[in-house]
Amino acid sequence: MEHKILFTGTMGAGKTTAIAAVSEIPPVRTEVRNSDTSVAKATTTVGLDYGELTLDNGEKLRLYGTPGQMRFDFMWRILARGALGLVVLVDNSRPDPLADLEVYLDGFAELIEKTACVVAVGRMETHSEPGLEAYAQRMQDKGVLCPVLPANVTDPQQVVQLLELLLIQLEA
Amino acid sequence: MNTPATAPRARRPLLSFSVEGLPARDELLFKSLVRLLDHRTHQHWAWQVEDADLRVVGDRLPAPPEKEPADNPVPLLTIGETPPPRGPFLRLPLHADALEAMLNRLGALVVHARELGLAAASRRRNEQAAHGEEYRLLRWPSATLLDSTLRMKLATLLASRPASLQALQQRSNASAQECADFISVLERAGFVASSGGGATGFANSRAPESIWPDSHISTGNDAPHAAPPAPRANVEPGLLARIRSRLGLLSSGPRT
Repeated sequence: MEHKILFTGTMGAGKTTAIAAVSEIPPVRTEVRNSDTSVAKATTTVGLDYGELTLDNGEKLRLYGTPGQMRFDFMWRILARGALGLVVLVDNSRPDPLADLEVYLDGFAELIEKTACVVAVGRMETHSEPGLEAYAQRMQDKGVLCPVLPANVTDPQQVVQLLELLLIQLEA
Repeated sequence: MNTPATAPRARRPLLSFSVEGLPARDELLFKSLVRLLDHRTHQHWAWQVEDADLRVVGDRLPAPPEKEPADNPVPLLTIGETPPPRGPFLRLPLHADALEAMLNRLGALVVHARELGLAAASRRRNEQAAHGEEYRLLRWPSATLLDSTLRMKLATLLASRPASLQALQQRSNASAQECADFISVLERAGFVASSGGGATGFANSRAPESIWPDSHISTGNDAPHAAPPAPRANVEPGLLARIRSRLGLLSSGPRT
């Protein structure tokens, strides 16, 4: 049986970085030249990112980063099948990060309802608004109750903390 | 300056203050000073709009009518040029030393009052626990209430499914007092409702039949009406413990 956890979020939110922070293999990345001039990245993920961890019984925990763009939402449904949980990465420096969040709460609604979810808000140190309160309110409006916290996914410890919050929900 | 707080920062009581009737500049200055003094105050103070533990008011705000102390348990700190007829007062311009001493004095009062209230609440909760009372998180709490890893864990557990105090304690490895304190804080802020009342109908994001897959816990009589949890279809026994182990995380399982 495949065990997997998904990381989703907009382009540049840090999905690839988060997976690289905890994966025991160099993440497998599918990237091409970025043609979206609104995003300051030379390349962007169009397929998915993949990393993995080997558990003590030899099984693999697979970490997938989903395509960020909504036009790839057909892949979200495929990736969500059988996933243990979802980490939503939000970039607070984007023009409307709350709207970004809604896209992923809607796109992964079934997975969130059945399993576990954590919302990690990045770049809050330079972009403090909207605050976590606004995120919690928006999540409540969408009927979603799960942890929302600031996170810097370049720090492996913070990525582990996000995964732990998923595990706590699965254990509850 | 006074002696800095000796209690570990994560264990400091979390208190709130509201500000009314101060000019915008003075309000901003007050909030900034409170933040700057945070490494020294005996309590952690966080601003909130209303219903705070401490009301900070300008001296031009009309004095509240005389009330019996029991009717007016929230202390009032007046700031300005003219001392009020009664109650604590700080003169402008604010001095950090004086503010620190005042916050520590009022904080101690609030904590003492809270402990007295907690004792009564604790008795009430023991009665509720005996009847299997469960607490349901209504929305994700404000960041100021989640000032420690333990509280983040407790909130996450409550976000997953309603829990009695006993179940919360078992699942978190926290002490009964830590769980009760956190529930009290959530209740005061309106983030939690007990199964006996106050339910909002807000949907939980998790299926109610979700379970504790790695370790079966006996919940005793804390939730006698609850059906035994069914296994999750997509989480095999022991998997979560293996993931924890691989990530270098300590088990969050119940105390044995």
